[in-house]
Amino acid sequence: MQTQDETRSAALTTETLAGALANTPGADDWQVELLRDEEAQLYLIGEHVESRRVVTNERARVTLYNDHAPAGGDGTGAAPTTARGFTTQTLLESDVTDGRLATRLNDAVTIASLTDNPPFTLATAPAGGYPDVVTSDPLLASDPGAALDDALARLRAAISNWGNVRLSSAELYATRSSRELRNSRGLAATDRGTQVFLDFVLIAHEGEREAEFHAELTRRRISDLMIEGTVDSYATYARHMLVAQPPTTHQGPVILTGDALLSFFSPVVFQTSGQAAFMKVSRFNSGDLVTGDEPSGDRLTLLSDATRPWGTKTAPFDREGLPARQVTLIRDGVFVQPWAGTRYATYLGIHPTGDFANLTVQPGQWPMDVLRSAAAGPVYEIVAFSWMNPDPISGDFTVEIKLGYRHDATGTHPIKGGSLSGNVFTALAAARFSAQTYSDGAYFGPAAIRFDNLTISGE
Amino acid sequence: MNSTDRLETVVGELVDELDHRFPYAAALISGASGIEINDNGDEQQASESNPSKGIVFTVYDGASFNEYATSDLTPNTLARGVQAWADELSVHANGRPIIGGGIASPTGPNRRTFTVPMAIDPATVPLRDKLALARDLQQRAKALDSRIVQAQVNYSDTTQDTVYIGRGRYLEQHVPRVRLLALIVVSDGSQMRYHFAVRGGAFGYEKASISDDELRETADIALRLLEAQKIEPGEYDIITDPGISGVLAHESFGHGVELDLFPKGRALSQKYLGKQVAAPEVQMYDDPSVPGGHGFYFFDDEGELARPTQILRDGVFVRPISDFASATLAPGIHTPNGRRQDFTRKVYARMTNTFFSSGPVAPADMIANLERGVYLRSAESGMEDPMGWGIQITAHYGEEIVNGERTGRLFAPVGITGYVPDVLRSISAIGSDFELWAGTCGKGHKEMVPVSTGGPHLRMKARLG
Repeated sequence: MQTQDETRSAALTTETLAGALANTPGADDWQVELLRDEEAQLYLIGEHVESRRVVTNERARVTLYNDHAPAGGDGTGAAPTTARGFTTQTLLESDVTDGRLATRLNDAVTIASLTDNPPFTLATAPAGGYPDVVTSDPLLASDPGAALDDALARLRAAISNWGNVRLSSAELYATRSSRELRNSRGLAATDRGTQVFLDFVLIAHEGEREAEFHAELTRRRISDLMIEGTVDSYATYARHMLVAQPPTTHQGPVILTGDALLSFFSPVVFQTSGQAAFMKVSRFNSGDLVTGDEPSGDRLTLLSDATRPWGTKTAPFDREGLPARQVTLIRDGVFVQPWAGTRYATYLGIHPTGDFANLTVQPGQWPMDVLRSAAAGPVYEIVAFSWMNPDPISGDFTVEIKLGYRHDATGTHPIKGGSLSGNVFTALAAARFSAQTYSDGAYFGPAAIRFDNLTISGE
Repeated sequence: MNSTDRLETVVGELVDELDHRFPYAAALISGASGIEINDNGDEQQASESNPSKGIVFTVYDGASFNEYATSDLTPNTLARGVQAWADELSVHANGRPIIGGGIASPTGPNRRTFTVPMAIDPATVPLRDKLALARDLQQRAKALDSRIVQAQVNYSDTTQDTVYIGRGRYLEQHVPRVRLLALIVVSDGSQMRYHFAVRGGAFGYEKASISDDELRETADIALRLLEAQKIEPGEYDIITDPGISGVLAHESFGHGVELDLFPKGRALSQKYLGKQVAAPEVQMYDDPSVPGGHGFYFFDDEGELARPTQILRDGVFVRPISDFASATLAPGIHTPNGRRQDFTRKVYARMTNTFFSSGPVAPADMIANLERGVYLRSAESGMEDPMGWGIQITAHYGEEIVNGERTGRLFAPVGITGYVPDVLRSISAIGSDFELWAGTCGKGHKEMVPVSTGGPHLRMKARLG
């Protein structure tokens, strides 16, 4: 892979853009975010390398703010107050070298001047500076291509330990990124980070029968892929897929584990946002229980944490330059505050928290074997779905089961097919969180949650 | 010579040079530009819609495909970068032969430029008019009922500009895509529901409108969903609207027949080529040349000219869809389905406009002839399972049918699951109508490209929950 300096753009800099913006009439405020990603990509079909790619993507996201009188006044007949319009443009090196920069920025002023929003101010540099956070893996930062080759060798070796399991395909991306942020209020910050993406499919076979299991992992550092352990887990799942049977229709306790949990909480993330509150579609009020009534199980504590070491959403500052922090949104079942950037924080009259970062859920006290207890009847444990995609407003979900287990008096039996349905908010009113924890890079929390009353549509 | 001409000249020369060194070489210059507007009455926002611009050089070295992708379109920098990258590659003497091939002729008679005919090019419409369109729609929607807590309008237009140089072809296309969505959120004080109306496709600004009647129907359904119940899990006779029929096509024998899955051993359909997999009346196509389809294009990202591919003929699986690499590495026919999300991602075999063709039954008769079942409306999402042939589709809602009548009782949301051949073989009536719905398709959970799905109303059996 070529090094950064060999292909580094020369004209697209924050200094160039800041200078141009300062001389653009109508640019009452502005923000420049210069992003550069260098990525090595490797694609395999079985043992065969199908494709190798090197990708360099450098662009500047320029957000320009224009203050003006609103087009229709304020609706009261009184003198119009000021409205703030804004727009974001993506600029490339060629926009600067080909002399289009002034035109692009003037176009942005025109667009911003046509949209009317309540005013808000931009972030300023924090008095205490930005926190030190850990986001850059030296192995990935020094040579992404070599890091991928090493990861691939370990992946192949780990799979070779398994009989009757083969690699169907794999995709590996190693990325090193840099980010420079400046705005018209004097804020200036830089950040560097790394990321690795591993997507692979294992096929287990027994005679004529075959079954696959698909893994998709994103991490900040290579070692967090835990390649050998991950292969062992997913090879086991692939083998269980061979013998899994359709579930029976079931209404009762269901455990969700691992990868499904991040998506499961997505309606909670949306409902705790300042945007949802401003749009009047949030069901949460500060100081109230998020479950409405007293929950019959554990109370939820949920945070957004931009400081967690090696989190994929960890960064010293967010898209606006707000410093990384840990923000408790729901404490002991009670909604504390929304998360919001400067815009919605201004609108709602609250302190800005920054973008939502790593989803952090406080684990519970329950051992896994207690959660799995089938003493009172069968318990289903789902480890993989086709696509957990709950409705952000209602919280409803219905999702096909890729792989799970039925725990009953006769033992534990793999299942696949059928669907799981329920409502995220109702389910949280009767939930118990495991003491064992799990992380997928963006989720840090209990490894399993047992919900007392979900519905499985089976045979 | 302007900067674009200079760039294309340099790219053509680089491809020409690479084509003499490797069995295959090509370049794709791609860019997307346009505007996206959001208006919810309290806020307005207008920004570029999914902007991207970059170039990809591809060479096949006899064993693997290698790509150099960059956003830096400065000719001199680009030439240095490509040459340094190519110098590290070597040709595998005993490699697998490539399909096609040929030397590029960047300035020769093979150059072809394609544009979509339209009444109003969205790029020529003043932003002020687009903002007014969104504001008017938002205000009309919000005024419909006091229980509407949020009416949100999203308008976007994007023009995808692509230049392909390779295989003796020099192709240029400009494809506009317009989308207008009105989302209505209602509340009865204790819960919230929503419904939406949407237009989208590769057409001009003239089709960006939603009528008062459509808005009223959208609001009525959102309000009725406040009373919707959970459906009792089980197997049902169902009638699907064209949107859900399309998602069924897409998830079953769309993803399931992408040829790049064949050499990976991930597609069960590989064993069913030439075999009956659906009811004998079922015809299914993927066709990037459908005018106005959201997945429309004149040529794919590997310079293959758009044309229809019949996937199912009389219920028999007759042809997969492919990209250049999969057609080279696996036995199969090259179809115009090589697509990439943008220059930062590789090409895969991807769907475009995927649909069941129409049949003889009027949709009203289909409902009238159903004794008991569910009429499923408004597709939300779907997920493929090419190896296990499971299927997952979520309908925004379903309406009960009893004795050939819609009872007004709604269920929401409704999940449809089943085993693909069982579902497709159970199709017992094919509607005489036809409609395409705009959407976005991923490969797994990434690699998003615009597509449409559709077809007629269908009657079949499936498991709901």
